[in-house]
Amino acid sequence: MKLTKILTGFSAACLVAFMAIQPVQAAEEEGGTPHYPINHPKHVHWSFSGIFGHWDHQQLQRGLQVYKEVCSACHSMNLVAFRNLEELGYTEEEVRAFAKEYTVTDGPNNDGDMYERAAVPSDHFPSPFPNVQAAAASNNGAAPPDFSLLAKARAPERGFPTFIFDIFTAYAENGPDYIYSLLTGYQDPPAGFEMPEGGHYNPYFIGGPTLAMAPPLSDEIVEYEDGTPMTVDQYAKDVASFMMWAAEPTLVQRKSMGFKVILFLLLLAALVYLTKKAIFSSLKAGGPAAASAYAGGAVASAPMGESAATGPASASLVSGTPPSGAANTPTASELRAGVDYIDDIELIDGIGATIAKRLRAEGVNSLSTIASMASSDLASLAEKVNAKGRPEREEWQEQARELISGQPPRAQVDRLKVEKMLNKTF
Amino acid sequence: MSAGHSAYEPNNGLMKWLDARLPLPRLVYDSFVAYPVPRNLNGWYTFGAILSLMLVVQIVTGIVLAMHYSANVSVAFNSVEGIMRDVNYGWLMRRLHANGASMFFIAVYIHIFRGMYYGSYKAPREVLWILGVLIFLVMMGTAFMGYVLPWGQMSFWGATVITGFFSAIPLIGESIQQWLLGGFAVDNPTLNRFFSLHYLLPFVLVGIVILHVWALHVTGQTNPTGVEVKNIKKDTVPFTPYATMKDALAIVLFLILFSWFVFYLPDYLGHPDNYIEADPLKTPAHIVPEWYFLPFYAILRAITFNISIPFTDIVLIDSKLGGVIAMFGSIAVLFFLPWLDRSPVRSGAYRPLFKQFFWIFAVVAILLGWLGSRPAEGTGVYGMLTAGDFSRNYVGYAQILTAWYFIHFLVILPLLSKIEKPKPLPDSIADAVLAK
Repeated sequence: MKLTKILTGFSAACLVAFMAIQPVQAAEEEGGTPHYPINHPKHVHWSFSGIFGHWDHQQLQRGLQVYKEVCSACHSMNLVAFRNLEELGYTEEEVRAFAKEYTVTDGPNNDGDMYERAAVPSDHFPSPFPNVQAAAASNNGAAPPDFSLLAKARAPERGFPTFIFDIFTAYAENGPDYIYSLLTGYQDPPAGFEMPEGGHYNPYFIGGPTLAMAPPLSDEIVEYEDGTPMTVDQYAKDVASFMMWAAEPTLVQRKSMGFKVILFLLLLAALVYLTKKAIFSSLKAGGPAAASAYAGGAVASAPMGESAATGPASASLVSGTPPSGAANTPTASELRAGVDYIDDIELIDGIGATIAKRLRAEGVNSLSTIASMASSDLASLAEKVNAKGRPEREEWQEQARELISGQPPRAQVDRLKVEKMLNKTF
Repeated sequence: MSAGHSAYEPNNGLMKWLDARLPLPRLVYDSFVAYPVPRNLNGWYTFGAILSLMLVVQIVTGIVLAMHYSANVSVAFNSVEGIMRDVNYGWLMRRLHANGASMFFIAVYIHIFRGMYYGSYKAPREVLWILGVLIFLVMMGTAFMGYVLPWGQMSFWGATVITGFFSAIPLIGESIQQWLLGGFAVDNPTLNRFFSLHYLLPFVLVGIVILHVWALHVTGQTNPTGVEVKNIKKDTVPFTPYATMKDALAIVLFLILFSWFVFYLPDYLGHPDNYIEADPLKTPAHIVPEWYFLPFYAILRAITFNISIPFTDIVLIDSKLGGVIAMFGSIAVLFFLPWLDRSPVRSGAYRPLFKQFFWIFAVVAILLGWLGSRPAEGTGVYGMLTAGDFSRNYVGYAQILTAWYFIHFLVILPLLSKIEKPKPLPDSIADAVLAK
């Protein structure tokens, strides 16, 4: 009855809500907005990809040459200083000489005038245009973007499900892949395509079907001295590598540190796992074992001694010592702190080192556990540890209760041990 | 449980002296050594410890970053790049901090869903749950403001979109928005106050986390059976070494995942446009928030319709305000979860119907996240019904899933507690463990 009422009420509410809804007409044209780039970037194998990625210094130097001779005519690279070029394998002297070829504006001097001087390694690459407006004015109204971060600022979406696989393959090269694809991707527009003025068709461009930049590279435009093929394809790869370096000079440092960190963590994980397993193994045995997790300490305090005689339920949380460890020998200071019995199952006459070891492996490592177990449980446990019938015959439980209440052990040898440790005579 | 007597015994003179004056070691001992935890906690219960660690990682890396960062629109972007290039291990600090935020949210979402599955919000843990939702809210605010600081394109436009929510409030909205921004648009005053608050809020978080842990230690943890601890000796194990060791293992495994992103995929969870300096004159093609806000962003954009008085043209709630209400409502509803789900059975493991709806809800939340990353295209449910517009109708899918999100909390959970027949519960935690 109640349910139908609820359902009726809900449907009525839905009906009213539906009537109250007024769709706002979307101002969008049919078919939705088109998505760019039209083509996914082509894949290139880069030396810096993967977990062992490293720079190909020869390639970076060639890329710098392409940047210097072609791209830098329009594109600035504000965040990169000449001194950074030493990371490409140049010597300090070579960097100094390289910087000298550039002129930078400095000042004001003591007369208040700005002046020009040759660049030094601490200077950054000078910009080809005095400001963004000038850059835009010389380039059909669109300022050429700065090169410093371009390899990270252009990363076309990978789409489902590729983006999930990328997590496992550590694919992070969509920036340089994009740059390579764009530089090699200029082509004739499809039939019927209306080319905007000053546009150049390129299906790899992220911002639309055409871009303002004319194809910047052509075969043999840059003279390589090391015999590397002087093709657009090679130029594009070299300059894309160089741009990745410019965008993240610490990339290789990051990857090599990552390998060491993860290797360390994997080893640590293995050790922590084994420790955890050892600690939890005592819980697997079941009830009594779990109970003994609290009474794992070798020495119980006085209030526990009292309560333990009637059962362990109200015992305080004494110690977090792992129960699976060997018998702990109490220190002198622990013994002096008003303790009245030693919680060691070996003090029971009949339980020697071998049986005690097997009992502890079963999680039974305190007198209170033995004292409070059901005698049938103890009997079956004894059978397990090769001591069939002995708990009854040797009165293990009675012995445990006696010990807990502060009475001396039955065996003379144990008695001496206790007397020595507690520094008292029975 | 913590109300029980303390088991701490100072073992030397100095500790006795301190214990009589400021029993801090006693507090730590009772809370993190002797504290009893249910013996059947599984791996999903380790995310609290992971989150505590992540908060510390974020604060430590953040303090170092703040030493090198400049909160001024003319230099903020380049100061971050200076950290990446010229500060010793600055790249590491920044990668840890940026990816740490994402890891923080991965952990918090798992932690929240764990709480939902095992009914951790139910009596007597309502305050614990509410404090958790509060932590989540403050985290979101902190993360959002932190994302603005690098002053990239997404920082700027994200800030513009999010602060724009406040202008949707009727009558006073625009004044509130200007007051929050310190001007008519996101600019230097906005960046300065965001930096200030981004530094402050983590310490507020620490405070709420302490309350959260306090509340946890008063009521004790839930456990996969949802049965309360009956016998401390049989049902629980001491925090140290058991929970400590399990948490330690989980933390190391989580750090491996964290490192994988920091060292090999540092930009995977970010947006490439944030490597372009903020330009108020150039709107990015798609403005998307960080991934952890995407489900809420999808809910925001799903409301493309006005709510009017039926049969009239009088608009009560326009689509913009509706979106903002739906988005904040989607978080606000979490505060009421303890009173929406009235089932006396705590753990989802013993609730056959609830279990199914829980997983449906989890899938809905993930799909909403995916839709949040899509452009707001399509004609919505209206278009589906009137024109059969199903292909790439992202708005339509988002509307259906948003509706389901609220139906789950407001209809399904209250109904389930009335009609569901739960499976028999074990008598105690120990019984459940021994039955295995």
